[in-house]
Amino acid sequence: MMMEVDARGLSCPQPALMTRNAIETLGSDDEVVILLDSETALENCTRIAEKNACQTSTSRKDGITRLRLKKP
Amino acid sequence: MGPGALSEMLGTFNGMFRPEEHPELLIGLESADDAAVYKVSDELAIIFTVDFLTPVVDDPFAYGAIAAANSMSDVYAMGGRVALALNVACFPDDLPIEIPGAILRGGAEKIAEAGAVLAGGHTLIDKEPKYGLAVMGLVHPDRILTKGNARPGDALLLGKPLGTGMVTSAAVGEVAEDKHIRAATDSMLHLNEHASVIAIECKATSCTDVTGFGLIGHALEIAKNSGVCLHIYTENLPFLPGSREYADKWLFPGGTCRNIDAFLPRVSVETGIEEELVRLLHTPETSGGLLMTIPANHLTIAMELASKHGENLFHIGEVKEGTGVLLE
Repeated sequence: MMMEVDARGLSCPQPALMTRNAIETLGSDDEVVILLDSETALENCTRIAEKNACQTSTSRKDGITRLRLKKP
Repeated sequence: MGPGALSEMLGTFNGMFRPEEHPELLIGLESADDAAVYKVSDELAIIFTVDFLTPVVDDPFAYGAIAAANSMSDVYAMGGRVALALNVACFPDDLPIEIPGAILRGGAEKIAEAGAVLAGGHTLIDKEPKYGLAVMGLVHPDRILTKGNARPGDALLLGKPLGTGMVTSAAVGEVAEDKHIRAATDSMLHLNEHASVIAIECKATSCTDVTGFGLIGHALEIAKNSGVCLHIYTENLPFLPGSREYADKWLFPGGTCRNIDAFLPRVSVETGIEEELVRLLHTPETSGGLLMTIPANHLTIAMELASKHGENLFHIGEVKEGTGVLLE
């Protein structure tokens, strides 16, 4: 399953909470992509993913960061 | 604003007002203290400060009272008594009138509690509410508490538990427990008046209040202005209930990251101290406690005075030679 969460324009801790909530619904091999537009949110969301043992990767385009999370 | 942007912005006009042309200005832009201090006579100086906040709690009365306590705290941090206050407010024009009324009433009651008088104010229409005070305090020019006189050997004391910003951040995300919000609210409502009296009676060598730059940012200001290193005993640090838990869940507000970027390079962290704790100590506080240094031989009397006034006072570290802050 592939899920997308749009956290653009939101200030912390909202993107972090949305990331946490998305991770809780992830099954094995599911993926979620968090759309972000601030470095602070990216840092916080990445740390939450790592704390929850998710694999992360990021890509950027037009000022928008796509943080891809996957449970191993 | 973040500390980096603020510093850059101030730099654009910092040189305009030469200290030698304004000798009556005892504390101004140059010394980056909690409030401006202006000498009127050999016996009297005015402490002048302004501060305002966006809402930190849902209850409008409590928000007004917290914003007022936060504004007046800068006078206490300078060792003064609060004399006069003016409201500074912005309210949306579609807000039911009871809400601004409750905010202003909360502020007015806090001013009365401080023994000061509210004399007016100014209000604008804006999308998000903002409220605080311009405050005038009074102090003897020889008894001003600054950030600049901490000496190696002094004890480092903190007047309130940490974590208001962590709990209010979790509350914004609607994941904070009610009992945690209540404890944080009570802490933010508490005036630093008695803590200031203790600082004066114990001949504090430096004093500030812990607000937007977090414990670390304000400790660094004392370290820099005094030319010393502040050693903070992390095991002695007091925290509001829930704040460590929300830090473990990484629910930090945006201000934490701005403070980390600005301050962490000047902080030494001993191994074994958790990253979450380091971040929590960089998290902005609202209406936080006084952070003071006192001669170590006054520590016992300080604790006795705190007990007598029913005031929280925590021995959280000591001053040593060096620079910056060491977390141990």
